[in-house]
Amino acid sequence: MSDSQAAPAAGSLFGEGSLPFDIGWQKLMMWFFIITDALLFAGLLVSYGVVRVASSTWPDQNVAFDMNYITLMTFTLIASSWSMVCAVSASNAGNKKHISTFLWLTIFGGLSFLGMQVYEWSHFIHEGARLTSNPWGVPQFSASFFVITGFHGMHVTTGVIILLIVAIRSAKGKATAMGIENAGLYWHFVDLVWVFVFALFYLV
Amino acid sequence: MSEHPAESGKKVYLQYAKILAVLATLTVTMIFIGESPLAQAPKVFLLLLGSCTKAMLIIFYFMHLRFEHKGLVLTVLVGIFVTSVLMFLVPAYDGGYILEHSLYK
Repeated sequence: MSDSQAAPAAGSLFGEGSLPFDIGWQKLMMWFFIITDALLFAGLLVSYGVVRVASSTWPDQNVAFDMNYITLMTFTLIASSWSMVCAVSASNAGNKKHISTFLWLTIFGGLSFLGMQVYEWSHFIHEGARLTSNPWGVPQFSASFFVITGFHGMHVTTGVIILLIVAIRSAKGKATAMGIENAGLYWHFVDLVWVFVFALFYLV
Repeated sequence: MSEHPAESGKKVYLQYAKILAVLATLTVTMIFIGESPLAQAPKVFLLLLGSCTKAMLIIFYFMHLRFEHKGLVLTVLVGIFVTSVLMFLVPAYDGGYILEHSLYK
């Protein structure tokens, strides 16, 4: 091999051993994924904002939704984020018993949230809401609801599947601290998105 | 490689529970703001402020971004928040046109 074709030295920008932002590639890729996915949700919420501004009227959310129920959904997701960060903390300390407990608590929180969302959707559909029409008069209201919460729910479902895989791998002693941390990053992101969905869709 | 707090146990879980309590308090406060008779503009501003505060708590404490390299912190914050604001400002710039030529009147 000629000198010009030689592999870059370790520690150089393009060689092995170089860690951009001082983190491993798995975590860096997870952060990049989170940024791009956040922009996707930002696009959805901005589109919703434009539709809201362009509509002369908008239904009162208190009439269409049970706000106590939505608040309970929000608390469930926030609490599951807490149990997830505790799982990551236990993983960093190598406390296997706590990792398992907190991971299953997080999965329980995620499944509870999904169950509540399924009930909310079925109730909304039962009242006559469809993607293109609804009893409250503004078609964009139900369209925004189904698209935004549906997309978020899909992310929660993916998160629960990832957490189940991590929990099973952890029980078998195969899960790495990095794997648990990346699963945690994704789960917190799901919570992060809900913060904005809750405020902009249900409260504004 | 950046280090995360390696300690584990009740003390750490309690510290995270305090963040959880702040998030829950902010959520309740936002519900009160949402149901208050405030005008739409200040209401949206306060709710966005509350949401951004909650988002920062989640990103910095739960996602541990405060322990990461400054470059990553900047990439994430600029990548998500500045781009989102710009994404909103572009259609907002045309907001007058949208209002005047509303498709849904």
